[in-house]
Amino acid sequence: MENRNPLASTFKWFAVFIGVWIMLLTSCDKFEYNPFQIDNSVRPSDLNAKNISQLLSGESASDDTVTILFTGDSQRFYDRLDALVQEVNQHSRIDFLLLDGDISNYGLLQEFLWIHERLEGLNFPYICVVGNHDLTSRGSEIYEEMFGPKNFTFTYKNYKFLCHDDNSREYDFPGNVPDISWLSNELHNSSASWYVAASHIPPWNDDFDQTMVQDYVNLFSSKPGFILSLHGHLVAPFAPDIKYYNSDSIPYIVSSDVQRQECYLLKLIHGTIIKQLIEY
Amino acid sequence: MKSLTLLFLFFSQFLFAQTEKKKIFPTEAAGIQFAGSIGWLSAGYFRQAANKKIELGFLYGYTPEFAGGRIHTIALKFIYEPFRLNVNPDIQIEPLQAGAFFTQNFARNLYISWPEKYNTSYYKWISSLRIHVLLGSQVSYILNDKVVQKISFYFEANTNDLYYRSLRANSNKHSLALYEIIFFGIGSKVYFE
Repeated sequence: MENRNPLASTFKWFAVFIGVWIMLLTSCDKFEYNPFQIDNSVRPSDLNAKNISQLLSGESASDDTVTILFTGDSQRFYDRLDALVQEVNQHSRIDFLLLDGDISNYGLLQEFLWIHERLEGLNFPYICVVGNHDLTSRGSEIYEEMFGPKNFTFTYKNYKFLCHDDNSREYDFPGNVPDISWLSNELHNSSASWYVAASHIPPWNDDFDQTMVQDYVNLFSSKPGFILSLHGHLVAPFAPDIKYYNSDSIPYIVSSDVQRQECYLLKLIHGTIIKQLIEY
Repeated sequence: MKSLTLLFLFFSQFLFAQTEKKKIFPTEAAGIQFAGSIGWLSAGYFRQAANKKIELGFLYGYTPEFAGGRIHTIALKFIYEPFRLNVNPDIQIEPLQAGAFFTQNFARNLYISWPEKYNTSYYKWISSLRIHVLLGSQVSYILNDKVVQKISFYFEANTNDLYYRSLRANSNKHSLALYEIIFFGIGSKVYFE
């Protein structure tokens, strides 16, 4: 009876009209709410976990060599990443790509999506470690939603990979970035034969908490089977680079960056490392 | 922050000054907008210059959590409308609107000036202030009654300084496709007599 009111009926149809439009527009990611938004209708989630499970599903007992395409600092160089994907897809046997931080430059959702859209074209999975640029703006939340936890491990063909956040400056050097107790726990409660660490900042750089360097490298030196520590962050002329601590044989390798159109192909064979620079 | 305040004071003269004498911005409008990079929903106040080719707007936008927020945004908009077509006595079209808008965004981990933990010019961009350019078009329904002059609907495409810097990462060629850095918004305005 109240519905006889023509104004109410008009209002109802107007509300339906607006509702349909909003549903239409929110399903399209080209309607941007804010460059700093952390989510939209196309943003994937838990990519690292999904890519790791894809990697593990291809694990075969007959082949115990691990081949990693190792690069970092893809920030802003989208076309060069296109070139990388095209080049490396021709290589016959690569297990995964490790992008060692600075996926984005400004910590914006769109940047993460632009990188993901390109790396999705790889014939093999890719795994992303968090870099200092990825922690600017709302990047920390975006990384966690899109890729997962900042500290994570996986074991592939008896190699345990410890990917972790060592961007100390971003947290104003709190003393637990990198999280040495987490690393120690992951190293000691494990039955893998070999260990590889991957983090963005190399320990000799100022953005790594310099009061923690000795504890950090001592932990790695003390673990039998620890063979390699991988880093990004530096660009030419400071990268690619390699350093050693505690006069042992563990290399701390800094990748070449996407801007230079170079990356490393790392082969791990029974705990030994074969390193090859690829240009694209 | 100081320069931001000065900027605001400078433009607020145009927005809020008594215009009876000068008649610089005689026409006022109020509007709401969906998306367009200043919030999930935003609302604002507009003034038109005497020749009706220039419009200034001051908007507040909000991006709630379900839309990827929470982010508060204030925006200052400049729109230039070179031509206006009268399709019939009721319908008017502004096929081209070109302009720029500045946004100040407030959210966790966005800063007006970078915190002290970074050295000077550690990050070479402004954290929370964005500069956008826009292209749009607008269609209006003319009422010409005592209060409301016309009701308008507009569609707007924009990009911002950081997306542009991503596009131009290489000096010689584009790093992305142009369409990848362009995003849309729609809105409606009511122009008062």
